[in-house]
Formats: sequence, C-alpha cells, structure tokens
Amino acid sequence: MSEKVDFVVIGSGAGGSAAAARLCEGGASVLLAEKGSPASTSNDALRAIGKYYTNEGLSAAMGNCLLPIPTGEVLGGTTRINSGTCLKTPKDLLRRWEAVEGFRADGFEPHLDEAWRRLKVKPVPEETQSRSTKLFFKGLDSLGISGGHALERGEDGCVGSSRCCFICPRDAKMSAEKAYLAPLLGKPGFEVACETELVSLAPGKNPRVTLRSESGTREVECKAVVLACGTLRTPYFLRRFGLGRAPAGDALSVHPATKVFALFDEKVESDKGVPQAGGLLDPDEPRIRYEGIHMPLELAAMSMPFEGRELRRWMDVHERIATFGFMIRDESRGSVRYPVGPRLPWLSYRLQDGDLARMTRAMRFLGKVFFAAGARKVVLPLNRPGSVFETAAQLQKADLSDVRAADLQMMAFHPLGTCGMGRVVDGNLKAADGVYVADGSVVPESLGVNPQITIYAFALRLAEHLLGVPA
Amino acid sequence: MSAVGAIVFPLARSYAAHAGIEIADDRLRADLEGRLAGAGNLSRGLFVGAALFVRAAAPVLFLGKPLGFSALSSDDREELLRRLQCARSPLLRGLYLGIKPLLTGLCYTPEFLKRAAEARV
Ligand SMILES: Cc1cc2nc3c(=O)[nH]c(=O)nc-3n(C[C@H](O)[C@H](O)[C@H](O)COP(=O)(O)OP(=O)(O)OC[C@H]3O[C@@H](n4cnc5c(N)ncnc54)[C@H](O)[C@@H]3O)c2cc1C
Ligand code: SF4
Repeated sequence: MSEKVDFVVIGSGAGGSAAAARLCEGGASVLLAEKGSPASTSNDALRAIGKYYTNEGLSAAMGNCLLPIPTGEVLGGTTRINSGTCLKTPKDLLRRWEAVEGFRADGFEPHLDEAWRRLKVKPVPEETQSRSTKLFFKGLDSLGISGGHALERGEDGCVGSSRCCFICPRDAKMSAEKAYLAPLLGKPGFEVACETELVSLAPGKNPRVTLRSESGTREVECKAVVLACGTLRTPYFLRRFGLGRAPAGDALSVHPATKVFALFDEKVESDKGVPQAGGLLDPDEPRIRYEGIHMPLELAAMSMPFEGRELRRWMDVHERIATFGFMIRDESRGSVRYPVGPRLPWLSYRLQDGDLARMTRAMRFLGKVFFAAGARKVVLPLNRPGSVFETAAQLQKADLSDVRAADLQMMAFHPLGTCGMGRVVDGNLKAADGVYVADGSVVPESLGVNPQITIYAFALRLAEHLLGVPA
Repeated sequence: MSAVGAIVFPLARSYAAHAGIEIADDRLRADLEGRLAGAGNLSRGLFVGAALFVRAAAPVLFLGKPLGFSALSSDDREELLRRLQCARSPLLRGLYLGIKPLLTGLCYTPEFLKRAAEARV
C-alpha cells in the first residue's frame, strides 16, 4: 500500500529545503527525504569531511586536470558545509534567461529578495573579518584599486570562529535547514525523513516514488515530485528514467577556484575570523571574482603545494601565512555520468585555454596585492617548481605562459547546469509529468557569483508555481 | 592494529621522520587508528591503494629505484614526494592526494602547529 502526500521533495539542500518549506507554508502536505543525517558539531575538520561530505569529500572531476568538487550529504545539504556568502543573480543573466519560455526576470527577483531576508544576510563586520581579508584590502589600498568590499553572508550570531565549511560550531550560519526547515519541524503535514534515499521514480499525473532507509522501503504517491539532489546527483534520475527534454548530465559549469598564499612578518592567525569576509570583482576581467578563503589548522598542510622537508619549513611559519582565493566564471564545461549508479558519479571537466589564462592572471593579481600589503613571499597554487616569489617585480616578470591546467592546484565548489532550464527542464523546471527539478542543476549557465541565493530563488519560484500562486 | 593501519603505518612513520617530525610510534599508531575509525570505506580503500603505491610502486615509477619508500635516501624521498605533488596525471595525483590529508593530518597536528608558533615567539 502506498502512502499519499501532496508533494515529495528529494534532498534538503538549498533547493530542497526552500521548496519544501514554501510548499508547506502554502498549506500542502510535504514529505522531504534526505539521504544524509543531521549534523553534530565537532572541531575536527577531517572528521566533518568524512561524515558530512558526499563520498567522504573524495569527489573530483578528471580531464586535463584534477578538480575536486566537494558537496554535502547531510541535513541541509551543501549549505551545511558552505561559507555562507550570498550574492544575487547578475541582472544581465536574468535578462538572458528570459529567452526561456515561462521565465521572467521581474518574477524571479522577489524570490531572491525573500531568500535574502530569510537568510538574514548582512555584510561581515570589520571585527570578525579575517586578517587575510584585511591584508587583501590593505594591498588593494596601496595599489589604489577600488572595489574591495565586505562580503554579505547569511548568519545569525557569527563570532568568526572560522569553521563554516566544517559545520559551524555555534550553529550561527543560516544554512538551509536552519533557515527553512527548523521553523516547520513538528508541524502537521510536514515530515523530514533523514537517511532516506530516493531509489525509484514513476512520473505521471500522480507520480510515485520509492524511498529506502534502514527501516525499509516506502512507496509514496503524490501530486508532484521535486528532485533537489544537487547538480551531481539529480541527473542520474532523469537519465535513468528517461526524463527531460534532452539528456541530463552535460553542460556542467563549476567555477574553478584556487588560492594564493603569502608569508608576512606579522602574525596572520588565519584560524581566526570569518574566512570568506571580503571580495572584489577583477577590475578588468569580470569573469574573475576574488573571495577570501581559509583552511583550518588540521587541513593547512594538505592545502599547500609543497611536500616533505619543504612543506615542513612552510608549516613552521604557518601562523604568518595569509591566503586569499578567487573563482572563475567558467566558459569550460564538463559532464556527469553514472557507470556504477548514483553513488559514484563519474565527473569530467576540461579547463579551456581562456579559463586557464584567467586563472594565471588572477593568481598574479593576488600575488601583486599581497606584495603591496607587505608580503615577504608569495606562493602560487602551482604544482611545479618555481611557485614561490620573493618580490613583486619577480612575480611580474615571471613567464606563466607555459602553465598547464594539470599544474594548477584547483578546487570547485559550485557545480551547476546539468539539467539546465530551457535545455533539460522547461521554464517551470518541469522534467516530465509530475516531476520537477529545484537545485543547482537547473541554473542555465555559469553564474560568476556564489550560487546559493539563486538556487533558493529557483526553488521558491517552483514551489509557488506548484501551489498555483500567480507569478 | 587494523589491516589498513598496518599498511599505512610504515609510510606515516617514514613520512613524519623525513620531515623531522618526532612522534612516538605508540602515539602515531593510536592517532592513525583514530583517523581510520572515523573514515568511511571509500577513504580506507583509497588509503590502502595510495599507501602501497607510494611505498612500493612510486619509487620505481618516478625514480627508477626498486626500493621501498623508507629505504630511499633522504634526498630521494624528498624528490619522490615532490614528483608526487607535481604529478600531472590526474589519476596519479588523485591517488596521491587521497592519502596526503591523512599523512599531513597525522604530522601537522594543531598541537604541532601551536608548538611551532610558540617556538618562534
Ligand atoms: C565548501 C563549500 C563552500 C561553499 N560556499 C558557498 C557560499 O559561500 N555561498 C554560496 O552561495 N554557495 C556556496 N557553496 C555552494 C552552495 O552551498 C551549493 O551550490 C548549494 O548548497 C547547492 O544546493 P542544491 O540544492 O543544488 O544541492 P545540495 O545543497 O548539495 O543538496 C542536495 C541534497 O540532496 C541529497 N541527496 C542526494 N541524493 C539523494 C537521494 N537519492 N535521496 C535523498 N537525498 C539525496 C544530498 O544528501 C544533499 O543533502 C559552497 C559549496 C561548498 C562545497
Ligand atoms: S565564522 Fe564561525 S561562527 Fe561564523 S558562521 Fe563560520 S563557523 Fe559559524
């Protein structure tokens, strides 16, 4: 016998939580299934990665480079392990998306505003900005570069303990489950089933899903299923059950990212303050966005592009090392496939020459800024000899034209686009009768800004569509 | 000691010794087992593959020397680790990066880093 509910939402990340909450607030009964469990805090980043990151943090794309792409598998999804930074969808992209039938920029913007309010977004105050951020601003000042700004983040009570990506110890970050699910827990007609996984799906006027957990299997019939398993998982279900206007899994954009290290005379104490506290859009190349980044002590050594005795020498002075990062609004694209099922997706990604050139340009720029702030040495994220520079002039003169994608020590935190709106799902995010998608996979192209607010907005808009609220 | 621990321990010990980090065997064993207990099956599988690779295959592949990692001279170990860090093949890099966080996590503990910071004051 199957259970009946108005809506089933799969996945509790930015998309799933916002969609489920809005549907419930609109009076519908909702079952939200989440594969991960609720998080508990610990001060050990490696343990948090092992427990709450998908595949223990070992997901990576291969192609002409190695590109780790971490995501979260925990109640709240990747928002539980993100930095909390909020930026709205660029207006020029919203206008371009109006080419997709059913999408209107002015109908989308109120949802961005709603997510903004719900996440209590505010600029990072100076007191909690990390020292690396302050050094970055100091460097910009001495170079006379304007545009550096405090980033805005979703938080309520942040004290700058610097562990946002490893489960905030104070539960101050406004992650999806805190902002959207917590206020509804216990409400009749609203169920959150953790450690419960979607295994099968039958579209139709009254779609049915099969959910599996340790306690058994549940068959649920509903009015609509909202898939929000994330950019790297949702395509599995569309491909497996032949849903969507085109095959899902292509057009993967990721915002390739990396960071530059700099050695100062003074203490930087990078484990204090909000790690992602400041930012800047490159003055000349709008596809490059600089944002703060920092690794907690237990991960600091692994993130430096050194080994052996050389690594030891750097770790002996770790308290004087500042870091700052950047990401690229990529033109390169990748794909996701599932040769052995949904648990181990196979990711490919090739960094194209234009993006490679942006990476080298951005790392040189950051190096210059750090030298202007007084750095003694700058380390570029290159896995090859010659990544350490002692003067701005030396860095300026360095020939980086032979840097290849494989030399870069990169990561990517924003996979998007594998079920793109207008390509795989329609303007209302419909993949098939009774089946909709509301996660990063629907974002039609590389955004150039941190994506959570955009994803929340897509999900809120879908929920209103399903509730029949006029746009 | 667990089977995975027995494979990884010799590498962890020589990795630490090479960098001049003194950790008593008992402490290292206990820390390693603690980390392995917290790791999932995927990580444990990767640790075994990567440890065997670094201990036995990498010296031949990168240096042409059919010796175990711990039997290499100090300069050869430094060169081997550098080559692993700089490997351009995504597969080899991926394999190596699978174990680097475990090794660095065991060596460069927050206590080590605090001591290093204090030593400089
Ligand atoms: C380290 C890091 C830092 C980041 N920092 C920022 C930031 O500062 N600002 C920003 O805007 N973005 C940031 N991001 C990205 C942002 O958090 C994500 O883009 C966003 O959370 C994606 O939302 P989503 O709904 O697409 O998927 P997710 O949040 O990934 O949620 C998907 C959920 O679905 C669940 N799931 C998967 N398969 C199944 C299944 N079969 N059954 C049931 N459940 C399933 C997963 O367990 C997961 O909880 C960061 C990401 C990372 C990794
Ligand atoms: S800086 Fe600390 S308190 Fe603030 S959100 Fe991040 S982990 Fe939480």
